[in-house]
Amino acid sequence: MARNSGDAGAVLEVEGLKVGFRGETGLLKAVDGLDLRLEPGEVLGIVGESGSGKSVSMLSITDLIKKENRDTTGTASFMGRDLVARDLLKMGKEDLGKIRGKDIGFVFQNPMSSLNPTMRIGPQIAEGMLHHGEATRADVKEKVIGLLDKVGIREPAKRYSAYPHELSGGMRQRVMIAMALSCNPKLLIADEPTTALDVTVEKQILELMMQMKDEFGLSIIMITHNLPVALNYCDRILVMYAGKVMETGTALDLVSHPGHPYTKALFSSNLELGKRGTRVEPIKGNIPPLTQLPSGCRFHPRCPMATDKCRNEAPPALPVAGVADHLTHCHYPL
Amino acid sequence: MATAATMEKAILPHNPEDAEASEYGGMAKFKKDFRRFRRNKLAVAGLIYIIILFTAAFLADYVAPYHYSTPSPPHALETSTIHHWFGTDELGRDMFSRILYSARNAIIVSFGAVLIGLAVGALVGAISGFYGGILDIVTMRVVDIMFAFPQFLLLVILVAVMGRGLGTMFVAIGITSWAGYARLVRGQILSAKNNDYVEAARCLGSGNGHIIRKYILPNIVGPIIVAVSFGIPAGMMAESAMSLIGMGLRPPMPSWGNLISAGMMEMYGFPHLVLWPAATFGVTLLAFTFVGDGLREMYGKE
Amino acid sequence: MSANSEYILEATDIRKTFGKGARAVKAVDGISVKIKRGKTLGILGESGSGKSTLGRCILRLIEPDSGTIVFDGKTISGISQARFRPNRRNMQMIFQNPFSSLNPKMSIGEAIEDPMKIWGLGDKEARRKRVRELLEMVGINPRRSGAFPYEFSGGQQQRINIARALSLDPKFIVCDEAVSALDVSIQTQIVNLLMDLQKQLGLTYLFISHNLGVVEYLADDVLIMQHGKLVEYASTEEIFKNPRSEYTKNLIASVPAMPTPEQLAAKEAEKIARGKGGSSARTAVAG
Repeated sequence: MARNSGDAGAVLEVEGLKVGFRGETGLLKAVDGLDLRLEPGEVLGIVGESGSGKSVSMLSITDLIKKENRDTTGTASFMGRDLVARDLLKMGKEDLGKIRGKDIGFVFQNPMSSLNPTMRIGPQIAEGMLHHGEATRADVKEKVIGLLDKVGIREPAKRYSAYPHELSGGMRQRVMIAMALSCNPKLLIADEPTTALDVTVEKQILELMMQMKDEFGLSIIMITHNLPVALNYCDRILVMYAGKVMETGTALDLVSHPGHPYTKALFSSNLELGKRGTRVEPIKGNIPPLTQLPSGCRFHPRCPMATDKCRNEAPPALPVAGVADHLTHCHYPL
Repeated sequence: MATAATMEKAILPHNPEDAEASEYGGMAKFKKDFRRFRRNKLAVAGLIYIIILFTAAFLADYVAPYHYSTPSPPHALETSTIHHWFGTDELGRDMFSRILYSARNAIIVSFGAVLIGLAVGALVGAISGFYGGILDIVTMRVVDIMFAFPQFLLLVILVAVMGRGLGTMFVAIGITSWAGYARLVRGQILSAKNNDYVEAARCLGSGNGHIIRKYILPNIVGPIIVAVSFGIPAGMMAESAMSLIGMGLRPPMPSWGNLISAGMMEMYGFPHLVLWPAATFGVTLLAFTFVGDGLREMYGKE
Repeated sequence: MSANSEYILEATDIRKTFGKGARAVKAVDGISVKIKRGKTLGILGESGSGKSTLGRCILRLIEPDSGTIVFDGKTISGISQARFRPNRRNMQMIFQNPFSSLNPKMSIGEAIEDPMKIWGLGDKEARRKRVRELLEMVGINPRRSGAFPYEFSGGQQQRINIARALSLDPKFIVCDEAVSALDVSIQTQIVNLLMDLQKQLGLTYLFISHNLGVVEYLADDVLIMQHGKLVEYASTEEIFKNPRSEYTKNLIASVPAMPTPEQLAAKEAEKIARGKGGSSARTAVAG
């Protein structure tokens, strides 16, 4: 099982990422030590609930959260189209602006608030392409219509002139995907891309993203709270809780042998189809507020196996069942 | 673009579950909110100044070294001395006392005006906003007409008709300002009406009166108090503007406006006659404005 | 009209249209339901199906254009709001957004006590005692009754909403996407709480949701809506084991299911076969 050595190296390599917010109540450690590595052509899922830091981490490294009152440390090495690795956290605003929207595309949760409601969708996509030099005024309309067709919007020439509110939720998300892909990115960051969509549309959009990944040769980071979605569509998954990584591994690893009590609890407390007649046990307790993070292992107050060691010492990353790439941050790997 | 503040709100859900015996009711919350006010040093300074001014102004009869109309010709046009901290005017009247009494008049006028404006405006705006329909449409057209009128001109006309005096002054200013409060209160009620908790209250069987009293009013009090705190200096400015054109309070009744306009005529010879009234007036207006800012911060976040 | 002891609520041919003329939208287009006492009817639908409108029509928070509603043997449709009002004590609603359903200026104790005050139930002592009982029942520390909504998490806020809904001792509760805005691990907590309370207090629920897993878990019967119309209406077992309409089948098929290791292993194998390579190296014992 050799590593895929198609391209020279990782698309994104994050080491020791810590993001803190200086608020009224002190320093809020939203992300406390995140490492991740994204290979070309890979889909990496970051799974977590609110307060896990899943969104903050990706939005911070791409500078989509205002820098004031935000402390960010660590490195985030990104390899753009020119195959040169650069640390995103050390880049200036201007350079980041050249990468955002071009080498890195974004798909967010709510397409209605991500699209300018006063502009027709065609010109919105065109604007980005012209800005990044992906098209000229002469051919941009044609390229946009081609994109709209590729993402499955019927009658793309007609829809070019549509306003966002004239489209359904699913179609708007397709427009967002088209916009994200318009400048031939290497990396697509999707933050809860299907959470606001109906379940039938969700499936279509996720399939579309996978299709586009193959066609454009992308890597995708998918941020979601939906574990089944992550398991079905992502190659590797990072499970986060209260700002820390709990477990990382391939989807197969996590499903066949979850190594962290939190992951296991997420599986067993999920209300999926087929649980009728059984009593599904939820995870006890509440997600801790960032102002009152538990000592040692952040999950210990809710963990059925917590010991004194868990209360006092932050757990190291240990391999699960002897697989070096399947890591769990628990003193007692399952 | 997300800011640290919005991210903080999104990722910071709550305080921990400590077993704390807390009382029912709003006192604890008020204390918490007031802390936010205290953080604004200018607002606190302004508040202290206003409290001192109020006390001095209302105890003017005891505090002022002289009555505002006591003439003392031998001491006319003196600059600051031990007996006359702010000097004297052309009739030998003590400037400090006159300024103190003008402060009192200014407070009476501005507070009176705001009270009238708010009482009328809030009532109209609340009924209009809450019940809507044709009543709302008609009322808002009346408000639009009020706005179309130049406020100052209306003020001049009212004072010309009602006569110059303390009472008529604040009634007139009140009349020219109710429309602003009506629009504010109506807007607040319209948005408060749409809140989920209002629908929940209805579902629980609450009648309109109860909803307005307990679910809407407490939630709109913030912006209204802020508007009031800015309305007070506005009222003071309106009165002094009237004095400048000779339609303000009748002398010997002092007002900041007529002290300033009288002092301006002697500005080159005796600058103290305009300096002290102008300075104290300016500081007072600033104080109210700072307090308004502080209140806005206090009621702003939820 | 005597109380039919089997069905606590019967709604017949409910219709509600929004807008006029060409822009008119038939939110609810002739829906009829019968809910058994002590049971849960799940209303399942996607966005725009009209499910929330149906719930509000039944509680007369929105006035239906036509149709009859019989609650506990009494006809509650077609009468004035004033005459309808006494029924509100028995029919309550839990809303989707836990935070905005609570008055930010009222402490949670006041919020739960308020309905009792409105209806003049008991004196201050008795009411305060009941507030403490209700908070215990929903799993909130009663000594926090002076705290304000923003001091609690989403899940806790929804518990407070449930306590408030129970303060009048209702028989029937409409849950309008009551867990949809909560974290996944908290959703299960609240759903279990609702089920326990149902057993404890004999409540009847109308549970509106777009989440198939949750509805299958807690509802006894399910009505599926699309564009205001009824698609399928049967017991939960029937709907999920033998769905009849294409729409229902498609809905069930679209829900992302937890994959099995076998499925994932097969996917890996397929990827390798297609020459895309497996995921990042697994450097050690292979399964």
